[in-house]
Amino acid sequence: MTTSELDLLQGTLDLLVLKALSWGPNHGYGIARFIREGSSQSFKILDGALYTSLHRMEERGWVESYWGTSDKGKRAKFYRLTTPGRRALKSEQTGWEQYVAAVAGVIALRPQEAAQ
Amino acid sequence: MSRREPSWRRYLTFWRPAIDRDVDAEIRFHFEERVADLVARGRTESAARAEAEQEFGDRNTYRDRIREIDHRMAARRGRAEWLDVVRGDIRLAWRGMKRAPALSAMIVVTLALGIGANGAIFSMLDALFLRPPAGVHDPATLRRLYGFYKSPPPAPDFTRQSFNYAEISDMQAALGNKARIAGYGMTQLSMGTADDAPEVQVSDVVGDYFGILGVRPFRGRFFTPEELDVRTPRLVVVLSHRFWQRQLGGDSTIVGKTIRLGRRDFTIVGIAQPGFDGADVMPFDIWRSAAARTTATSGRWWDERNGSSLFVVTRLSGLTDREFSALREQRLASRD
Repeated sequence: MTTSELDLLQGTLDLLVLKALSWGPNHGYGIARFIREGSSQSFKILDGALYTSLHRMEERGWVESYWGTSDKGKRAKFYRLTTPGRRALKSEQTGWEQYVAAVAGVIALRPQEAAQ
Repeated sequence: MSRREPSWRRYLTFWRPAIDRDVDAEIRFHFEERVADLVARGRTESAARAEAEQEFGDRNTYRDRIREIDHRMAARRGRAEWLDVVRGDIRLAWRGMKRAPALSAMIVVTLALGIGANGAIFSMLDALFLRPPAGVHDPATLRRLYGFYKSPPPAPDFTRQSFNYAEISDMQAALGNKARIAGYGMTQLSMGTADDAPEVQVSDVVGDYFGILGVRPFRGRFFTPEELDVRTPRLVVVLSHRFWQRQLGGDSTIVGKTIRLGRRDFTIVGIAQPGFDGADVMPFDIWRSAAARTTATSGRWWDERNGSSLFVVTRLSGLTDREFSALREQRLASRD
């Protein structure tokens, strides 16, 4: 994987984690599963990077954590979005959509159209 | 823990474990769940483990990175708490100084020494000297405990003024029978659920709070050891004399009756001696056994090491501050 691809994924990871949490509080493993299933395994995110992203966003005040009990009755650390986190999700998502639209636009572009 | 570790490292772990242990517990939970999922999909146990490891990336690297973030967060929160401590002490010092300027000057020096003593795991900043609280026996030997939290560099050290139940239990165990400590919280509750229900200042008590402060009951009694056992829910309260007079009209048959706090009824077991309203600037109206925090949905909150809401008070009982600190450090150092 080249450096630019890696950067892209790292920037996107926060967005994916925020999106996963927008459906309700979850523990790290639940978030990992959500992303793994949602992406149909088409890209790989190291789980360690996912946890780093969670803790970094907690430091930034986008998510907050608490200890709770998992479905199977085990003690687990849960995360939930804060109000600044919801705001960040909105702006990151808008940014991402604009980015995708721009890339798609360039890909669809033909040389004669560009010359006009 | 290895016996060869220098003793100072051992008592560092007394304050540090919550963060590192929580990170470890979080990662452990992740692996347990992932391996279970993969095994459920037909992998062998060892194949599942290997796959989970590969998906996670280098476990040690990530663990260290996450711990570093959490230490930084804790340090920042600690600094905010420390500011609260300083602000509270300055306010208190100012009040005291108006009454006894010479004594206050001495206390300010004591405060300064306490702040500078970064080698000590904790120090005692004595708010009680400044304004001896009414009804408290011999305020000169009474101390509030503050935790000095040593962070691994480059995170700065910080001070905490409150503790959780689990930490208080650890501290009492470390001190043995040489010194007794008690915890108390500060919270506001409404008397009942009506819109105009008056707010009351309530303190949740852990351990022999009244005994350590040397307060006597005016009517009834204080909490029994059974009532203080947080493993069973107990809805018992002691009223301050002033609250009883002002809010309850000095009803002479009040002991044994109930009072509604929030949505629950508490049995009044006693009234504290006149004038006593706690050892802080903020006067308390009501003391509850901390067992009131135990409910059907509270879980084992007394084992929880996240967050802290209890202040800790102790009586030096024949020991000097230095001896007390040394005693505790020595006890902690011998814990394995």
